[in-house]
Amino acid sequence: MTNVVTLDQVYKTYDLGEIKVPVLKGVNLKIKKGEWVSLMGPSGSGKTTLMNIVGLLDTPTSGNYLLNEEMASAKDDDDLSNLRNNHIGFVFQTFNILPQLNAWQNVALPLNYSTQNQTPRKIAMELLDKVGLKERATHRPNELSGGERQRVAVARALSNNPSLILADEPTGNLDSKTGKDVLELFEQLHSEGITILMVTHDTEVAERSQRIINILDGKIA
Amino acid sequence: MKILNLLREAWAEITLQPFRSFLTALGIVFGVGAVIAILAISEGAKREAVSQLEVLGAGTIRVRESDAQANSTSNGVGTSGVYVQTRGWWGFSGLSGSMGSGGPARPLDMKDLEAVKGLEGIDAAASERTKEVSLPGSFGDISVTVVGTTSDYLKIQGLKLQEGRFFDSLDIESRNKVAVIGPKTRGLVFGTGQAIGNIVRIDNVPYTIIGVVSPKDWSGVTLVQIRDTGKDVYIPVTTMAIGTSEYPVGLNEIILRLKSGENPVQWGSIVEKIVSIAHPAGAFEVIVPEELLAQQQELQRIFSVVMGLIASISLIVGGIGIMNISLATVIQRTREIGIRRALGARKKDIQAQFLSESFLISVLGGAVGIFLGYALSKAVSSYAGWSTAISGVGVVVAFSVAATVGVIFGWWPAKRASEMPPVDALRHE
Repeated sequence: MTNVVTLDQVYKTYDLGEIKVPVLKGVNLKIKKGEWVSLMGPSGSGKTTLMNIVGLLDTPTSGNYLLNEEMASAKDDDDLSNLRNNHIGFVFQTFNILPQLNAWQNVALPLNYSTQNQTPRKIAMELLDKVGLKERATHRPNELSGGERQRVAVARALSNNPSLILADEPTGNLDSKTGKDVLELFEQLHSEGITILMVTHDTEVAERSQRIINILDGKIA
Repeated sequence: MKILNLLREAWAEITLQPFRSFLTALGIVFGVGAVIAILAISEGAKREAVSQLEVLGAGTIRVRESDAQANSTSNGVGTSGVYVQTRGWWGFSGLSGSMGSGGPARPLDMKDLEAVKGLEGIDAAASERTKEVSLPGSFGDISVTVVGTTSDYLKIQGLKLQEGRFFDSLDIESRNKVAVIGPKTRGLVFGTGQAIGNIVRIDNVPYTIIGVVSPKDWSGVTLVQIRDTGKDVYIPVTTMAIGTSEYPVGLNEIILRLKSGENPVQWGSIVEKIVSIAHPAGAFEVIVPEELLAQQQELQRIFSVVMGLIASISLIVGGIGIMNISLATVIQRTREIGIRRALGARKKDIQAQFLSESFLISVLGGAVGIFLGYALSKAVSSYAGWSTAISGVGVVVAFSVAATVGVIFGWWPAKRASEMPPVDALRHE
């Protein structure tokens, strides 16, 4: 089984002028294709920084990051954007769908930045059908409930057929009922063979995954 | 992202807050409106000038007794209310034995006509000696202008005959008592009856009518004071002088037509020199419509440049308004920028997105501005009586300027948006 994510001695230090703040202190991590991994740890432990590096939104100060066994660190900004667009789907705690676009337009948004020729509306409608929101396709976010918004976000994360879904506390802003629904959606994705890395504080949520990684003070415990 | 997608998203963004977008575009609206109005006014003036020349006839020179003649003052404002080239009394009293300083200047006469008629550049010449007389009409006396002239008069004035013939050089030499009448005179004196062959009595002298002139509309001419020729009665200038002791026959005006391709301004000054030999104290003026037009257009050009500068300032202020709002928008939408970057937008995608918004706002502002400019130029037309004309070129220019302003002033905010680190942008509340 190939590794989707390989982190090798990854360090991240924030340079705040006079002070240097080390956040990641030599992280080694491998996530296999099709795995569902939960990332847990207290605030300030470096979870978010690790997620940003895995999500190619930030670059390590030192160490190597291989995405799909290809070197992803030390790429230029355009290449990183293209890699994000083609390989990574983000699901955020606060949904982060754009208020001026309706559901299907939000789902299709990554396709707008894709270099491949696609049929955005068709793909978006299929994905909305998959998350059970086909009837809500032309609704704007302010006409959708929290759970529905997060489903739109999940559909958007899937639109470019990514190798990895990065979810940052996807149920954190939902009540327990809708949270469960969203988790079921993730279970479905997992069963379809999609690789998932999910940050969570909730052990119940974490226990649904195959593997739990604890990060503490910039190192994987 | 494809252009169409960009514009569609930009449109969605702009219509999300229509009033704010409208206020943002307002500077462009006024700037473009002003540009369109200015272009319309100068285009209108240009067209009016061209049509005046068409009516007056290109390449004509008029030598006219000046208003100044009456009181021997010189250089001033001509009869038309615009500056005209006037040859006034320049104090050449020593050269002219017959006239003392400040004495009355000699009127123009047929000798002057003969003197300039033979010039190389002159195609034809005609005299005008005018006199207001009353004729008995079908509904009481009517006042007409009797014009003593020569055979080339019609050709020079661009008039045509509707009936009969004009008098020829033989009529002039023989001092025949023949008359050609204007269309209004014909109507007022003869109604629908026969005019040719009838007699009109001018100062109790009977003249046989040999022709009737077609109507000509002089009303568009403001450059030179010109008489409505409709109520004219033309008789040979030689005949008109019968019974007077004048020699040579005095004239009010000499009208010259240049051969095609000759420079009217140049010939105007030659004519002036020649006439002034015989009239050293001469209160006459040489009117060259082309020269007056050039002066008028120079004024017009200055007006356009000044107004154009004001309009440019308005456009720049409009552009700064767009930049200001764009910068605020970029800050306000930082999180959105982060989201888009996370989803795979490159820096240039973000830049293109914000740039297309300021471009679209400007272009829409420009479109509204074109309508505003149109309304403004109509208002100027009806208020000031200036003729205006919206030209296609003007619309294209104003539109392109608006689009350019949008791109120039939107560029920096868009650049700033694209330079935001995605991680920071995503964290922005």
